[in-house]
Amino acid sequence: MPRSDALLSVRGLRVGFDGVDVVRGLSFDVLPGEVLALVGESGAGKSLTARALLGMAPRGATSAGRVLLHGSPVTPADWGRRIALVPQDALSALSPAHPVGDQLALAVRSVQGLSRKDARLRAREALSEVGIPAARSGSFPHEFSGGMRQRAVLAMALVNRPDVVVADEPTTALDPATQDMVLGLLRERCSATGASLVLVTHALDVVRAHADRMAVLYAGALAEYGPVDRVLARPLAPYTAGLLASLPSGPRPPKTRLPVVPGRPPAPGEPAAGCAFAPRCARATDRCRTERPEPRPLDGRTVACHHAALETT
Amino acid sequence: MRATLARAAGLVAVLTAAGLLPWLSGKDPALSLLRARSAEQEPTPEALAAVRADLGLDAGPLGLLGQWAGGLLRGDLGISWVSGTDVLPSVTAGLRVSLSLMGAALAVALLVGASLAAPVLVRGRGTAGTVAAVLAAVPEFLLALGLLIVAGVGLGWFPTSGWAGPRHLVLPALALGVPAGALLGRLVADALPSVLEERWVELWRGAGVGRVQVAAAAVRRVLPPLVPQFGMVVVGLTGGAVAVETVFAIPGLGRTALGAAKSQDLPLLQGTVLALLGFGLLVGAVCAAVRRRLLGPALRDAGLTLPAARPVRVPPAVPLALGAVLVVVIGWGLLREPFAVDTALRLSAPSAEHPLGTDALGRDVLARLGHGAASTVGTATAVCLLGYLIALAIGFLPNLASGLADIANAVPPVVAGILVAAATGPGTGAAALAVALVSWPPLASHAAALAQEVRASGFLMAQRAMGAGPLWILGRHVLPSVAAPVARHAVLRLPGIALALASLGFLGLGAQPPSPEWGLLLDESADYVERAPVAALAPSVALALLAALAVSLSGTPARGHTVPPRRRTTRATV
Amino acid sequence: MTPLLDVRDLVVRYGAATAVDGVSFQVRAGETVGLVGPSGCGKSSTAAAVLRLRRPHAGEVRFDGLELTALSERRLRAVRPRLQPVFQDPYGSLSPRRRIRAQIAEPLRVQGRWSRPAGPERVAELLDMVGLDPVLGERLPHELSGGQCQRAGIARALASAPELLVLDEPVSALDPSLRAGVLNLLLDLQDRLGLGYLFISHDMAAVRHLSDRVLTMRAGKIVT
Repeated sequence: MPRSDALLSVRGLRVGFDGVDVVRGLSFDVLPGEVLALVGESGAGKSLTARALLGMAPRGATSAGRVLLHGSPVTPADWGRRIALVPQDALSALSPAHPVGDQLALAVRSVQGLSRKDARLRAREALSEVGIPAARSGSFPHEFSGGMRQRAVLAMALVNRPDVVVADEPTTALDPATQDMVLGLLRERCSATGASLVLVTHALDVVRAHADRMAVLYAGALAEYGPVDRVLARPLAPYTAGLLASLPSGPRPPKTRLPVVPGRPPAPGEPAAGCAFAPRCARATDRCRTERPEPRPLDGRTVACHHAALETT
Repeated sequence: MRATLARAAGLVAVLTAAGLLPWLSGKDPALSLLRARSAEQEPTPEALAAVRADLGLDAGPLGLLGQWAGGLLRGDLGISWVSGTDVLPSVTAGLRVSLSLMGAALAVALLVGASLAAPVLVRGRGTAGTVAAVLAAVPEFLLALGLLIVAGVGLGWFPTSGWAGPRHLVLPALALGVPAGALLGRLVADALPSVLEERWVELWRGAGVGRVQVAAAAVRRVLPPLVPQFGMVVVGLTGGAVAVETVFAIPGLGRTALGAAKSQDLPLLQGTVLALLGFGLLVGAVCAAVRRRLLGPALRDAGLTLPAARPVRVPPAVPLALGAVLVVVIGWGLLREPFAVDTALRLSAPSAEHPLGTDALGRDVLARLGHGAASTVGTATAVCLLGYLIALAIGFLPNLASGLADIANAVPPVVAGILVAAATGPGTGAAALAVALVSWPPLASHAAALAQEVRASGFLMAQRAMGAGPLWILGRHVLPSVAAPVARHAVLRLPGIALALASLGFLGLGAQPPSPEWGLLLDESADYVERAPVAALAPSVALALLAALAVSLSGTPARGHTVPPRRRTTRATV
Repeated sequence: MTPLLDVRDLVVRYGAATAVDGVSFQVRAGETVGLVGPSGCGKSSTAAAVLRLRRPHAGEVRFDGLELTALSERRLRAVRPRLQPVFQDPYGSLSPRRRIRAQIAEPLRVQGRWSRPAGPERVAELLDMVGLDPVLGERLPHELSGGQCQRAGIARALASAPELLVLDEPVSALDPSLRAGVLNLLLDLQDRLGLGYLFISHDMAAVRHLSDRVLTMRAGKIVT
């Protein structure tokens, strides 16, 4: 399964607190120039995974496994230059006490060691690349509209032209139209510089519109991982299938009852053994409850389920 | 704008009170003045009336106020009733001394504050630590006395009284500056960890900004919202200066004010209080300017507010142990007789009969500590309860609360104590009133914040939608969410209030001899520290324990949120 | 036939800004009207004005023929139970300090309809109606999942025996796998109780699925 063309490769990643793993052994690759979506519900370990890609661990967390960028472990020296983070809730992600242009210029100076003047020029350039006039670079974040702040955050993450951008639910608080605009801009800027984008989200319609490949996480483990069109057209993992079926979108007469995934997402450490989805799964058997399914290749993707198979209908 | 109005109204109120002091005090100074002016003259009614007319005391309250305000406008602060000299030169001389002292203290404070905040900045978490907390809670009068006894009398390193050169400045500046510095350091150190967990730090780090630059930016981010609190610390120095100047016999403004209050020299008192308040207002204005300069156009924004500081957990064993020691000492002392004078046993060393020895009149020190605690703690409890009730009443009117709190915050307890004592005469009641006047604002702002939080919540809208009336909502939802956390907060402030009362007692503005009030005990004990060290140190140790108790209690979260933590996804930080 | 809710030329202002600028629509009994639009278009302000949680600046809100905007707060209290809100934040819309059962009982107490044993029986019935285990009634909100809290919020709204529910983003804060369950519950309740719904959301798919008619708002006005 390891791909030689991977830009960033994750193997056996575990992140946990107090001996309880929240991310429970993840392996996946980010290919050059692609948009990979990490999809999951709250508690699935998306945010922890996103930070683990940069080697940022929250206080008190333990982590294991390997994250290799260009074949070597990620260190803080890579931040900004090779891999950058767009944090959750971008509206509050800029320092309220510093002019926006200064914040970008500081990132440029830290990474590229440019002179104060050159850094300021580069910062203005980066802002105009996301559609913020250079004349506004002296403004404070609160003088920007929500959309402009969002774009300034993207500009800051991209200002040092990283190879990989990790965006952790950058648009959750926004309405669909603005979300689309911001994600479109992010994708466009990444493809302009050839950067790969790891997009963390819980919204399947975002994935459908913006990602090339997707990794579905459930309870800190991979459920399904592969090209977006394949996975969404024909989900093979029961969790992915259940989630897709429960969406109100799609060809369905109004007011019909939606198929429901029973139960609720597990709390960390809850599935002690076996498949984490087993308690909610209609196809679960004794084997699912005792033996954890290993991810295996199937129909051009990777699926972690004992029962997944290509039914020929 | 509203704050400016409130401050202006507050200034007018305090000035009016100061101007009306001769009338408010209801005392007739004519006789004492007559004696002071010429010992031979008979106190005939005619002579007394002449003095009154001379002072303008027969003009009634408005006339008095008019006279004083008129003189003020001409730069004339009147004539001292006691010395018969112009007040203005005494005030300016005192001001010069006090300003040098406060300047030196401020330098000490900045050094102490920076050295306490630096480790937190480097580690990115934690707090300024217990030492800082204890230093911030130790009242200036206790530290001053400790320094005087140890470094002045004991080791003889520095002069212990007077004002004649830089060496005289060292001990007072330390006594005044160290608690203020510890407070400054704590303010910064408490705010830093939560600022370092703000989202922007993640963005900055992830975009490649180095650790050092992030730390510098965090300081830059922390300072502007704290500037007003720094201002309050500086204003607090004026209160501390009264005690420190008294202990070290420094002819500053605070000591002058205290002396004037005690001798009922009201014109001099008016002048000094005016200078103290003017200094406080000036500091406030400077702080506002500094904040504007630091924030620039971010003034009206989130840059002003800091994320809630994380409460520091103190193991409950610490306050429990401190409390237990105090309770045992007090309980034991209460069983003994505090007023029995035995001149044969003056200043005796600890013995089976007198476990902590005896004082200068041969009274049992343990007994006096126990009985003194009962009155100090009892008064403090009453003050606390009063503050709590005021806070609950005013907390539901946030605009009024913040305006009044601004005024009350700008007056240190000691200055309030001086004013009240001048009006009513010194006594337990005066001290209690003074501390009560200035101790409710933190409670009120806590109550206002909680009430606002509850009122803005979705479940309260649901209450209105189901048809609940305002009384139901207030009684069943708002009040229960506010009353309990504010009550906890009030209890936590009890030791601090007791310390404030003790400081007034120490300065002679509170309980009067032979009451065994703790501040008074401390004042008396200073005289015989060399001859009976154990007896003399007992009140200091008791007060230090009380300060430590205040600190360890404040480590348990006082600003409790009404909403328990929810289940949330773990937020990662750098 | 009089519509259950008849909103005419509604205007809501916040200071100088106009959030709702002349909005008119109707909701009939048993009908679902969807209201969609981008953030800040005035959807939630419309909801607040319909519920009279905010007094509109101009216009009429007629509920079952009764003009609400003119009513005093006191007279309004008699009408309030008939139109109930369900909010977006499942935790914030419940008091963090009281047990679920007590919160569902509160409308009965407020409206003077509490008695024994009918009151507790009604609460048990409501818990069952929204699919909550009776055991959960003894819990505090933070001990429940978001979906369970949202169901408790719906049960509390139902305790007032409403005819209209104003649903302001009722599933947006829920995890995707929990949304379908709450949407199904809303459909079931409508069938069973004949409720009218004003369903506000920016989730187009959910609104289309539930609604008989969909209105789109933009900059304070209804555009379709």
